[in-house]
Amino acid sequence: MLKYTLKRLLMMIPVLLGVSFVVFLLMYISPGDPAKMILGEMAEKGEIEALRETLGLNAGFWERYFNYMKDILLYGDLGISYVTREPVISEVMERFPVTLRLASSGVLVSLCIGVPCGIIAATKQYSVFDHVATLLSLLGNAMPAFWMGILLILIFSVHLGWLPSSGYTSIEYMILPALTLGTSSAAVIMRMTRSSMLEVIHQDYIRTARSKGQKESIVIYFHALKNALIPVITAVGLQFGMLLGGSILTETIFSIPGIGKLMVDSIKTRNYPIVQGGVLILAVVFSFINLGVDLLYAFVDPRIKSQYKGAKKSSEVKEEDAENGEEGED
Amino acid sequence: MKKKVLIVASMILMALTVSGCMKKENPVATDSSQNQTTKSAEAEVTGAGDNLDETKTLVIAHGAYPQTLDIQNQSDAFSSRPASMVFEKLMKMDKDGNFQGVLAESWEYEDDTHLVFHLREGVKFHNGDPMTAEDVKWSLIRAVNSAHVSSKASFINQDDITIIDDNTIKVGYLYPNASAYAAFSNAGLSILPSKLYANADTADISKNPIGTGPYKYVDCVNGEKVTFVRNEDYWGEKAHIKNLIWKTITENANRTIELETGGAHFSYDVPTTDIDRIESDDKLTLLMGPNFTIQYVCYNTQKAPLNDVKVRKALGMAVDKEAIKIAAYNGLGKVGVGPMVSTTQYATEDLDVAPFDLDAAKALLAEAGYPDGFEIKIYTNENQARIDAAQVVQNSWAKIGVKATVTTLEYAAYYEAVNSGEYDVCFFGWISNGDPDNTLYGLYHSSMIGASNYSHTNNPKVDELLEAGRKELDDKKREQIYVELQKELVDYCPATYYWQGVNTYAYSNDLMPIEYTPYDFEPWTYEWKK
Repeated sequence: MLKYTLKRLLMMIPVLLGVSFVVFLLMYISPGDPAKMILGEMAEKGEIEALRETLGLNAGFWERYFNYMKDILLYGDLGISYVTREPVISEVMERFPVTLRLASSGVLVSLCIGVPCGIIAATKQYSVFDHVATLLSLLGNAMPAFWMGILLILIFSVHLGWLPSSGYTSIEYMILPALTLGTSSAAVIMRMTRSSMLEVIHQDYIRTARSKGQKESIVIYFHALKNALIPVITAVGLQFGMLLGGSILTETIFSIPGIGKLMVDSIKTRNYPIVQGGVLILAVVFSFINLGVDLLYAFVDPRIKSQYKGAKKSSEVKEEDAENGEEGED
Repeated sequence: MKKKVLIVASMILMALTVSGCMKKENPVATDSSQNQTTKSAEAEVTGAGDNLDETKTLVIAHGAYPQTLDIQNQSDAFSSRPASMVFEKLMKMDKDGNFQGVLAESWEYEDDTHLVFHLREGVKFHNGDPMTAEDVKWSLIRAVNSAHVSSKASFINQDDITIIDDNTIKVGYLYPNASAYAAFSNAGLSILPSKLYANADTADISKNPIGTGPYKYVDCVNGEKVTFVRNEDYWGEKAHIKNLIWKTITENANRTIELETGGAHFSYDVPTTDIDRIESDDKLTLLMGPNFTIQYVCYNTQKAPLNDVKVRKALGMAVDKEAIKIAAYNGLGKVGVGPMVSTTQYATEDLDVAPFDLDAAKALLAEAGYPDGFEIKIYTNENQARIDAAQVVQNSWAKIGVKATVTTLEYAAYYEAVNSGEYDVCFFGWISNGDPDNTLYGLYHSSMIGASNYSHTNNPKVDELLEAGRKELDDKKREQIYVELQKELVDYCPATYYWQGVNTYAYSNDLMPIEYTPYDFEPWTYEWKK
């Protein structure tokens, strides 16, 4: 397992190099002048030129890419924000915990709603609950986060006055954003859990467990659910990764200063260092999430764990057979 | 057993991530005296008391988090507004457009290019250092060399600033500048403490803004809010309300919701769709009035067929300004006439601007050699009001045979397309400070082609008048120049001016009534109702 983990960590290096190059290239070829965007519509030509010189924007692509990579590889320096003149790493890492909190709460809500509903829908297939759950999951998937967030604010903040409409500093502020994000993810998790459970509960070993007189709850939650978890873990991992980078609408509606908002604002203002650094950090996090999901597979399914440990070499097997054979002749 | 431990550990980790620790707030002060003041200020923010002004925090909501609190390195109102709580200028414009002294008590011209300021005595920075002429000199030179504000300060000759004594300073200009007072009233020319910031960069100043203002900086939560406390040693009338927060709420509708729920007490930029709701809410008051914004249809005067003034005038006659006002601005504001809004100094509406007349437009197009019209490209950015206006214009022009395709571009791509000259028509707006030079020079002087002269106007008469207006110090002569300039621009027709802007703000009726001003609001004058 350790070997497998180390191999995966090493594989991240070419992936991250590729990501850094692609993002750098995309920002370079995008139309728009960062100096103009920073200084605004009313900036004079001289001001724009002076700022371009200060930011090093007049250098060529390869010179700029080389300097950028040199700073990262030798000093771990992701550069300085064009707008605030603060280090990119501190700007991004100040926002990252906020988005992490938001994404985690969204995933928690989606798990709390999606998994139980999926299990019940599968065990009571074609029942009223199953149909209602399917319909709600379609609605949840179809409802845009923007609309959902405003609706929740109108109901719970404006009319009922139960919850705040913006901010993120304590649990009560996170309830509405978590519900906004978690609802559409819950729909996906619910559908995935349902279909996976349906596949598993018709297996022979489930029939065997039941015929042996095992309690239904043990059959479902211990035998069936565990075997149905692999696709669900995949879906949760993907959802978590998407929420980390894609919660911009929820962050905007609830005025949560997360990394999604930072990235979109930085793209608009052509704040290259923030975009490049932010994407790189998100790529690292996403790679670790993928690794975590793969390691979780091993935890859930011993067959996958043995695959990670790898099959014995054929030469080793022949040696073992030969040793066994000599012993046998005695 | 091992697996159960791992499951429990994962759940604990998830729960910790969700609840989180207390957010890290930016470090505040760097010297110990400021540290002491700041700690006591933080404690007082949550303190109790009978007097509302002392205990109830004023929350002002606006649409974006300040990019920086270094007032000399900002280019947007979201940064300058909160920074103006801490920093002050030499003078300001009052609500009637007259100049009043702030850090300068009085001033007089020694000659056309030398202005002597007599500074207010007894003014201290928040760290206790006295404000002197040395600080003024250092701050003005810094502004001249700042990429963000140098256009406002570029007339100042940084090698000709003379300190006469601690409270008297003579500032030399590179040329006579009739807009100098407007420049000295700009937030970018605020006065900073030279000793404290001698070796500081923008990031340092932004983390620890120290000025002479009625409020002191306390701390900020990046992306969310900036907190201030009253300056008890302020040289003038102290702020009524002790504790102040500038809160960032990016979603327009949410700012109104925050007002309704009491999460904010003053909101900038209320969306026009919320106006009726606010007016019908007896807990809120709407503040609305004209500002210095002009919106215009901009023609590429260097590209055929728009390089023909008859074509531009014909297109201008086919712009239904009333329809745009209704479609794009919910009927608010005023239809535009000339290149200066009516609130600008020397603005006149006595201009020969042709009214909306499709038949006359078609006839003029035929006279210009286009009886069957032609095809053109309209570019606009993502601003919804401009998109709506572009669609109204497209429909009108179709009636005179001009087939226009509207392309909406993201902001950065839009500027690049416009500056490169590949467009035919584009939509722009201009926010001035009320001074005519600030209103017109950047848009129409030939030296600004490739920067803010989006119509690529290259007219020697216009250049001559702009340069003369900038330097003419006699008020009557200056007015004549700008009236002639407005007529020349209407005649040359680089743009059709379709809307004069309005500001829409709202505040809670927990506050004493606030008077509308097209200039900056002054939260230190606000007070709670008793």
